[in-house]
Amino acid sequence: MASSRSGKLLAVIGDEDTCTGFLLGGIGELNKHRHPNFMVVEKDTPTNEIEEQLKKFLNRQDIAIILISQSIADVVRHVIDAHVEPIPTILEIPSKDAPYDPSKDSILRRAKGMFSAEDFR
Amino acid sequence: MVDKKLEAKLDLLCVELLELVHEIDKTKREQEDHMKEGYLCLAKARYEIGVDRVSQLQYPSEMVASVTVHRRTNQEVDQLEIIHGSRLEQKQENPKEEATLRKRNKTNDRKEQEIDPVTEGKSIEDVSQLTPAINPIHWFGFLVPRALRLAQESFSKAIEASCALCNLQSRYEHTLTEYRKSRTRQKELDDQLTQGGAPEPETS
Repeated sequence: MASSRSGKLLAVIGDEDTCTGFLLGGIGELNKHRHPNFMVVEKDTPTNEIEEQLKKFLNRQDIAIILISQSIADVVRHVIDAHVEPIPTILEIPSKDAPYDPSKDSILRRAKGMFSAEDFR
Repeated sequence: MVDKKLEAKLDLLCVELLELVHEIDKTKREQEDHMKEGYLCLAKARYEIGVDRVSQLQYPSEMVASVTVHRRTNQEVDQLEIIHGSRLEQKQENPKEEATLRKRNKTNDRKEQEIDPVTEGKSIEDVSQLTPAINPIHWFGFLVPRALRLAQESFSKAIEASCALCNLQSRYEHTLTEYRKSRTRQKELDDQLTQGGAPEPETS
């Protein structure tokens, strides 16, 4: 059994309430380059900015979990689907105005196609 | 002859996968409930102390995470566990590092009083990294409404549920890979049987 020495961070991409809530939980950190581990997405935030921030989080070595609101995850789905590494793990969370939809979740979508008709022959 | 051992393994993996999907769905719903409760409490807190008092305008310019995750690799599956306390506190808990820093100051007693053993030898940028974590609830004031404390509790539970979900996802991915490998092996054996050749014994 192996384990890493220092604790890794959780990052969050979501609306203001989601970020405020998770920061209240104690996950917020600004590193020495003053880069935060959270991103507040407003209604007018451009998609490329979200995509860029998600890619930055994916490349950071000190982040283990990326929490992203499902409604925001839908606009950067191609980046999420292309990510296959176990760490950092991307986790889709419900947002304030959109309840969690299992049919959109990347893991449960894969589970749906787990068995093919050929498997039961 | 059909490989009974392989079939039994496939059945087991199938059941395990279905159980994991059920567990993921259950934990997701738990997480959603905690978050719903948290949003409601945040709205109540806003109503009590004002809209701008619970917003991103109150985020401080220096913040240190008081909740981090620790990664363990157990049986080829990555498991994450929540650690409470800042990374500074975790560093101070490391006795070897602390002993080295103390020795460095041993020669000069006066200096020992002036120099903080944790910050010594580190640049200004690194020192800012070592700012101790304060309770984030104090960003919004010292006499905060009860609703904000309840929101904090709910989101802490949501963080724990998130960590549990990550572990379940890792286990799911690992089991799915195992299942696919076994399924491919079974197909190979089936093909060999239909072609009339003797099946090769399973190596793994």
